[in-house]
Amino acid sequence: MAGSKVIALESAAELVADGSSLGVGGVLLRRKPMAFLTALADAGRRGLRVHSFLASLDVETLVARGCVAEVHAGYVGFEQLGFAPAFGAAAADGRVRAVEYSELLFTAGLRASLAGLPFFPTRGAIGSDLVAELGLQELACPYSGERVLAVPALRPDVCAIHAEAADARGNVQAHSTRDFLHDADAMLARASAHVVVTAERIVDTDELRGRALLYSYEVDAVVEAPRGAWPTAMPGLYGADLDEVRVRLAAAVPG
Amino acid sequence: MTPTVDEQIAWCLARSCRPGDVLVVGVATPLAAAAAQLARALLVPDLVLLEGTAVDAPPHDVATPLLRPEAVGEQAVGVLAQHEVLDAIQRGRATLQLVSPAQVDGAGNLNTSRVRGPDGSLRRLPGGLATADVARLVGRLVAYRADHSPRFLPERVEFVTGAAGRVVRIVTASAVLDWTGERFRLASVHVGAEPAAVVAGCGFALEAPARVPTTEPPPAEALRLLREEIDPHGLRRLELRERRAEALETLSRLAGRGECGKMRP
Repeated sequence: MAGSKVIALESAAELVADGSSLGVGGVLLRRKPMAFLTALADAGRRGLRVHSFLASLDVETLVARGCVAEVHAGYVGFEQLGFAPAFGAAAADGRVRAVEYSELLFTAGLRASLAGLPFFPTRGAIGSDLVAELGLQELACPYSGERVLAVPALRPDVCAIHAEAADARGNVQAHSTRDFLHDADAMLARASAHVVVTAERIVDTDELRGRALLYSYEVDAVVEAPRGAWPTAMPGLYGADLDEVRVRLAAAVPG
Repeated sequence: MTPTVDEQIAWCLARSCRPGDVLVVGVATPLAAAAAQLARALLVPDLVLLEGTAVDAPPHDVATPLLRPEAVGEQAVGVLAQHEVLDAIQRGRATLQLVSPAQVDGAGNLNTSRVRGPDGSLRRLPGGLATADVARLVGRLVAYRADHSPRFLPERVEFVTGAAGRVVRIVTASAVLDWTGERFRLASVHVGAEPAAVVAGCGFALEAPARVPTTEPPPAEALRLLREEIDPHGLRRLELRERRAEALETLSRLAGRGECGKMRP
């Protein structure tokens, strides 16, 4: 088809260069583009600067496979299943630079990028030790004098998200369940310079009319990846495979 | 019925809710989630409950958000977008949050980021989520943990994730500490706890009255609700160190059976 953006998973992995900044969609154990991240690791990618709002198996997998130089996140863990062992070990011995954000700091960075602005102000996180770690500057409101934090635009080179369906032109169907942070992927994608979408199914445009999450002009590549979020959840289609997650975490524990 | 430590903490948290509160419950805190539903059922009927981004879901088993997160959103009055919930907090619309930090110190600083390991090195925790933000922006914070030791209650936190200023109460495994405006004061000790031991077990100087009241134990109806309706599988005990493994097994078993917890009409 003319103008088709559908490519193979291995070709999509080539869109992420060694050392580039990578935005990873999904939140906690939901909608992580695991098939794509595994393809990146299989391709031997190195030195990635990963940006993931609330990370779990995405960061853990990439770190365990030696792909990562930096992790920028508000959380890296498995909620009730515990810590991320490979990430924790790599952060502790300095192989990976771990950069912790608060939720408002991370989204302020995205919103600067979304709005085409160099920074975005926030009242969040003032007084936190995170501010100095991130090197953030305070700013006085020119009208009231109120002190706010100025968060620089966060603009990943490439972003990867996993969706239920997309058409060949790159229109992406909105997630059918409005669960926790169902809209976070669209924010991250629009804040990024390039966007790769893996989808459970490639569909005709008519099938997703009226319910687009992202539009064709915002998407660079589409990959068909059934069960592409497994073992994380694709709400509405399949749940997180907690047994598989536990197996992978146990395998990552040193000793 | 004798309450267990998790049930006593849940009741103390529920008692911290007031009429008109807009209460935020975060992820991975089933004990706080149980307390919120207890408060709405028995104490503050008009409580507005934000569970993650879901607004006012009907009463449900706390297993539901752990097993099938979208179920809560489907039954909620509505689901806020990522920026909407953070903006609501930034505008000051959230009046109360129940938080479970690794540490809270005598000034009310919260640490959910790093703790010192046995070898003295700082160990990274999964991360603070919105702790740094809510510490600044939510009206009142109640910090809790099923612990009562200088490790949880140090003189000074190892790392300031959330700056001091909004923590009005600390609920521990043994006591309730209230902020006086300048320091924490021992408000009550739970049944079976000794005031002297509670003061000694706190890493910061704790002001204590001459006669320390006993914490109100959860009434029978609260225990029945918790055990039979709000948390029949006991997943609130995921937040108890010594009961965590057992609760985790239960969670895995429920997930394996494809159960998602019941939403009550």
